[in-house]
Amino acid sequence: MTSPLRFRGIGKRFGGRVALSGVDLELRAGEVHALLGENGAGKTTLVRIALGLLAADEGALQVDGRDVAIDHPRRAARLGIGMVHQHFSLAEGLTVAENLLLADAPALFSRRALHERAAERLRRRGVLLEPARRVRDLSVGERQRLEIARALERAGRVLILDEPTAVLAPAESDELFAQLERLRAAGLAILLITHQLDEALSIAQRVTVLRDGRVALAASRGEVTADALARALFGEGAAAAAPSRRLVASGARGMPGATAAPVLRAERLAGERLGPVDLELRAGEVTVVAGVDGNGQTELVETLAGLRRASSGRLERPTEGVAFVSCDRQSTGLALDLPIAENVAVKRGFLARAWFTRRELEAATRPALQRFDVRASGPWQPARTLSGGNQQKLVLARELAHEPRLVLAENPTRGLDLRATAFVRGELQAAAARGAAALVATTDVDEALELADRLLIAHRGRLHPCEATRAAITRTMTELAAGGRS
Amino acid sequence: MTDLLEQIARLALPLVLATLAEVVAELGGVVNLSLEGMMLAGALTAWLVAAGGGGAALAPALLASLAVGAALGALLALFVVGLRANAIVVGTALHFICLGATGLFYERLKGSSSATTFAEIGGAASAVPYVGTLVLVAAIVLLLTRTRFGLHLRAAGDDPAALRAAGGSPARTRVIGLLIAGAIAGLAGATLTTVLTGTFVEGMTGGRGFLALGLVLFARWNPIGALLAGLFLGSLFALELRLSTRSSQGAAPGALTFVLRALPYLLTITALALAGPRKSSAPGALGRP
Amino acid sequence: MRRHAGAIAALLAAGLALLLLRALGLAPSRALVLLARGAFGDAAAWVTTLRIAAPLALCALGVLIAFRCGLWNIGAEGQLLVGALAAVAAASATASCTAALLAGALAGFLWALVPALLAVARGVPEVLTTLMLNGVALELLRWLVTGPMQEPTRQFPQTAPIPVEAHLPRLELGRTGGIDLGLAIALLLPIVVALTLSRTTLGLRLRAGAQSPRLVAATGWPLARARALAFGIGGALAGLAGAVEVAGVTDAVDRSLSQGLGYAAVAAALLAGLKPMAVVPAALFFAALATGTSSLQWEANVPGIDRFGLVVEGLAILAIVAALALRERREGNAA
Repeated sequence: MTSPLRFRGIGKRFGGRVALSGVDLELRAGEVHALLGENGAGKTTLVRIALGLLAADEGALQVDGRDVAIDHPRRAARLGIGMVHQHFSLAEGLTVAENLLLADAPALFSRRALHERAAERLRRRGVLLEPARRVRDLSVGERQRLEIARALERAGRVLILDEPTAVLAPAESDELFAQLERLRAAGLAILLITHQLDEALSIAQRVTVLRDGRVALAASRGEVTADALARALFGEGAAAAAPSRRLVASGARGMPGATAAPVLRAERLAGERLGPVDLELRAGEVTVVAGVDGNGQTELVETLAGLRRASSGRLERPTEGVAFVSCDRQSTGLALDLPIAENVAVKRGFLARAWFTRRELEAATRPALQRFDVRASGPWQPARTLSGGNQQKLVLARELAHEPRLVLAENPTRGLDLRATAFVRGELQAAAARGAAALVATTDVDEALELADRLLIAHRGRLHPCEATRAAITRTMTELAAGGRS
Repeated sequence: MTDLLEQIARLALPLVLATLAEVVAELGGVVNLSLEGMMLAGALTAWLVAAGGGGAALAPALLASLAVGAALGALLALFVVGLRANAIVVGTALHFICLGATGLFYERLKGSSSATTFAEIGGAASAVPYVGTLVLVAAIVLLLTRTRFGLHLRAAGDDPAALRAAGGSPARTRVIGLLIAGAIAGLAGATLTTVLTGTFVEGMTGGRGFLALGLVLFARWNPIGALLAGLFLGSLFALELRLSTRSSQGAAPGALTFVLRALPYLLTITALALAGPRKSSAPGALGRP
Repeated sequence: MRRHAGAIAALLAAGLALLLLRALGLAPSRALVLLARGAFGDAAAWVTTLRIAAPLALCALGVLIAFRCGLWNIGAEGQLLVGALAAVAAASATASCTAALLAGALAGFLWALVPALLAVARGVPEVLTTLMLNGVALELLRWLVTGPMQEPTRQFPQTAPIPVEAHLPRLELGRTGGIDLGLAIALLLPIVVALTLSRTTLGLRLRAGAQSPRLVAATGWPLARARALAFGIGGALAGLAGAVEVAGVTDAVDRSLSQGLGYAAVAAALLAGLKPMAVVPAALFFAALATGTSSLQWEANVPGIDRFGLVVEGLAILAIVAALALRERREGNAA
């Protein structure tokens, strides 16, 4: 059996961080291979190496049994390795035919000839699309099919798909899988990158799970259970967790006397890719929303924060004293070109009057900056120059300095080093201990377990209660995955 | 009746060409704010070459305008594509330069002889500009829909990343697009001299270039649309001329003239307001590098 | 080729300027001397220069405010024209200078508000809408000065001169004329704007909102409304400039009012690096260019040289653009 692509012992570091280590993965013709892993597990890095965008530090790539060096995307294409990204690169104003033949249109052509050529190529790939339609008028699923056809035009032996169902409705996902099955049967090797256990189980012949840059599990479908997959994905037994700054008086949280009215209440709240959701957040309690990315967490947090409007349902939320820590530090959390002090003062509550002197601004913001340990040479340094960890601390300084009643955070420690991660988690807990109601959405299971007084799992826009233990999480996720698309 | 039609055609000519030039530029993704200046440069060039040369000088005059327009397009491309500078800022600057330079030369050369217009030659020659324009519109249609370059240009203006992924070069494509747009803009200005009047007057474009920026919207970024939009405007202008010659001092025609002349601008704003953020047929990457 | 584009551009700009000077029969050094003398040589020259600089600075300030909020205001030309027209109407009706200035500011505000609201509420690109309204304003001017607002004898296409009481208070400087209140306003307002932008919470949020609108929206502050208002105020400044033109410089409005002042204001704002305190020097630069070149025309008998000023304006912008692009390129490479 030919192996159009094989990773042998691939290793890669970025600075001090190990992204990949000793990764073995073999793709075979006529086979769908699912690659599972959390964010940051190394899937993207691995794929970029195969596409010639990155060079591996260790190990080798092999095509048909021979070592190859893929140093440029064009080389990857010539070796037959193609990819369909999550974000399509299609020109919307052009037609299907025009997009398909953009790479190798003849210098002169008639419209009919172009359409015929496009139709023939689409037919060969088993893609059903009309050449004359404008991409703008296509549904997401149809656009994806066009992307697949385009990728196969460029490179026809290996097709890599990056989270293809993240943007699809359930019916479209079924169509996609049907097409992938046809392509597989025709001899294509398919690498399917996904978060979703149920996809891997339903369509793949073989599965590899990456965790922290290493292969945690590699098996063929018949050999593996959903439970084993989940355990490999989320880990069993704590990974070397950093010591967190738990408050000494841990009994201060979740006090049984907390029967006061909820700080936030949502009834049948629904919006795009969200809901309906029923939720109550109480003072002093940290509610964690766990789950893989793309299940409505961003939509939920932003709707609760007032940044998005729900399309139906009721939301009672405080209008003041809301702290919002977005997952998008750089354009929602901060104004990067502004100095640190101004990034803090943008929020109400720091400056007493509508006007201020430089000294007043410094004085008003210094306590918060010190308290949250924002390391910088001075308050007038532009926020852009701070490290990622310090930028997040800056966001916290702004949001948490004034004892908020409600804290909403999404993936607050993503991309941060161990120390910053511990700091942020500690501060979130401290805020709750002082009486805030907190909701933290995170894809990191360790973080979920550390912070949660109450745990919910997000799945396809809805929330499912779950016990705050690792076993319960894996079990619930497996069940949700096996329950299929709701 | 025929002279009304002839008047409409004559007034429409520079607008059609200017709108066509802007369609090409914007399909490639660049808004050309210096269109007005390019037209002036083309008009001046045509006059300089054609003045005193009789009918024989008309062809060289047009060619010269094409060349000057293309050169200005290259200059625009240098900054917008080469330096990735903001097209609005560069367009404004280029507009100033053309405005000033043409005014400069006009001052020094005014009083010189006038150029012959196509109409003065008479006969078949007087139809040349109109036929030529129709041919040009058709040629641009073919260029955009039946050649690889046209395909790449439209992709460059819609989603440069897609073009790059397909192995094309958005930058190179845009540069060529701007050369073409500039050339046509120069031609548009030349018609002012060689078809409408026989001379050059400072600022003779009278805002037509800016008007064309709005007309592109009505043309829906389509060469045929440019033709129709230009004709529509030509009719408005002809109507306005007739009204104003009929009674030059009455207040009513004055107001009507105002409405007629302001109409294209107001219609553009209305169309923009109704269309909302994503104009349906606009090139997706308009204004983005 | 792309790597050297910046250097090529800067060289081209300088080269073109020199070429033009030579073509006009002027040695560049001599031209510079004459220019400077024409702009600042004596009291009369200063007065003329300042008279152009004041409305230009006001307009540029208005444009700058919009730019700092992240919106493109190319409509200063139209806002200025309607401001001038409104000022004439108010002055004729009330014979009051204050009324004229207020009317001008209000007209400019409203003229800018339409594009502003369309931009923040419907995402309509304000570049186009302001540009279109410039055209409308020009047509409006043409109509009014030959129609309803034309001067009584109906001989000239201009409005009646405004009553003397409505003139801006002026500091007379002998027979050369004087400098008027408009200049004082033009000198004071940049300070107000600079302070507002940098030392008020309003300015802070507007600046933050230009870069990260979601950040400000998340704090619950009504950003869209504020941006539209700021844009409108920018238009008000341009309208005020128009009123100052009328009440201070000319007496009436005719078709030659402004002549591209609104567009020059965009250039001046860019030359000032979008810093309010630099607007006055930038406006002075362009005004000096205008006066200097027109006196060049007189003295050196070089016809058309005053148009040269426009060319230099354009070249100056291109040079700035090139310099900025080069700096970004260098920072990008160093990162």
